[in-house]
Amino acid sequence: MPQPNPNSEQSAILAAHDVSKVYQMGDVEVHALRGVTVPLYEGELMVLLGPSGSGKSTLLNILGALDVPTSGQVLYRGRDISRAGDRELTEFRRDNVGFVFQFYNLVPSLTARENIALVTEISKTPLDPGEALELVGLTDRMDHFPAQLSGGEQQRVAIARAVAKQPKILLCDEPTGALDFKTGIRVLEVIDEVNRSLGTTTAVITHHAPIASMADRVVSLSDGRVASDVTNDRKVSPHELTW
Amino acid sequence: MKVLDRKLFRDLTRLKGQAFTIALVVAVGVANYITLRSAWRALGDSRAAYYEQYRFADVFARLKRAPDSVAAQIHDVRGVATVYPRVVEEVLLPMEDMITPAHGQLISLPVHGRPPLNDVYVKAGRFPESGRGNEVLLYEPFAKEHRLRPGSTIPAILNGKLHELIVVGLALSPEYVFAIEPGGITSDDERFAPMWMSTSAIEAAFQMEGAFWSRVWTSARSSSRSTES
Repeated sequence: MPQPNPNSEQSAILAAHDVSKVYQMGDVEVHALRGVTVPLYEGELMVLLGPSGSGKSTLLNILGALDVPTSGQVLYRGRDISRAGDRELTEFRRDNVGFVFQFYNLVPSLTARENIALVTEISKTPLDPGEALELVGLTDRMDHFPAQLSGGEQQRVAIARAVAKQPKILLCDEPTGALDFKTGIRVLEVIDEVNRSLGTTTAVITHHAPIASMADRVVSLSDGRVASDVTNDRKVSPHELTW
Repeated sequence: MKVLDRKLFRDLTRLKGQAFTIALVVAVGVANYITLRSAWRALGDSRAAYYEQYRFADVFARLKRAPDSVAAQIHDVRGVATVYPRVVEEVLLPMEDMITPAHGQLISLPVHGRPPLNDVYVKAGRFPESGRGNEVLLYEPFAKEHRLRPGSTIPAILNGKLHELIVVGLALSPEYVFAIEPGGITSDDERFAPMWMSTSAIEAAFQMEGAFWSRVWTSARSSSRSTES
């Protein structure tokens, strides 16, 4: 099992240590994760690669405190959050984690700006919704409803919504999964821009291996285990990607 | 306006048909609840007022036969405010329009004035006059069933003898809100008739001078609840 770099672990903002997750399906136990150790270093952009069923989304949900591990620890700045109560986890998610999912989960009856305002109204140090939309290049579409936006634009609004509260960590689960190549590249550019300009620690789940080229670090999962954890020496810009 | 409030407003605007229907259903439900609750309270208040106004007794006791002096002894019991001794006698009413006789219950009225307890509400006609032995107040629902009015006569077997009683008034009483004949299980206004008659007339008909058969008294603490023993 790959071990985290002891030197780099000093700057791990979030880390899964020997995390296992078992789902009970009647009499059958399904092992989604089997002793996974993955650190997420401050300011990096990590890509989590793996085929369907390898445990990527389960790991991301556990790292984002949407789920709890069956065993193991989840450390946020050295504090174990794997056994925290619901209220504590809600506060952790609200203050520290932004989520982007494959499907955008925008509220249909609110405009792009209002969807972002939903988050900024309850955040401690939010960006202005207009500023967040400017970051994803949608200033001219801020008063449009989701139905008036393309899939890529809706995903960019979802990213703007995730970063508007200025989270320490941005977790993206297949953000390009429902998009065509060109639109997917645009979305990845926005994620890269957020990582660079705001310094938000970012983890992106994908099963498109070429996307790994834009990451600082690539972790591959297979059958609930870490298959590889490598630093990307030749990081490329998203617009150079092809698949 | 907060964003969630705006969302609520827009969603309600978009679903105004359904929202209006739901609001209407809720409003009808609330209105029904208020109406029924008000009716229930009004009925309760009316009942309490009826019992209070007509001095419905708290306690009933039925004796086969007792001298008048027992009334004074009962009055001395602690907590008893008023004692009203009276005669109650079952009679048969061989009505012309019925194959088998109906049952009547003759209840005595004081010689002077209104009953101090279990007063009677006269809906039509008047109280029987003392000295006129065959005058009665008849229970109004029974009178309606048999189309009897003040001035009508009604056959009754008193102490084995057939009498023609003259109906001088139609009455209701808190004691017979739901009139069930002794031994019966349901109300049957065609077959059961409480009737009120002067004490002297009943005592004469049943040779009961100097005694009373049925006693009613009330406690000092309450005048609206009743039990029978």
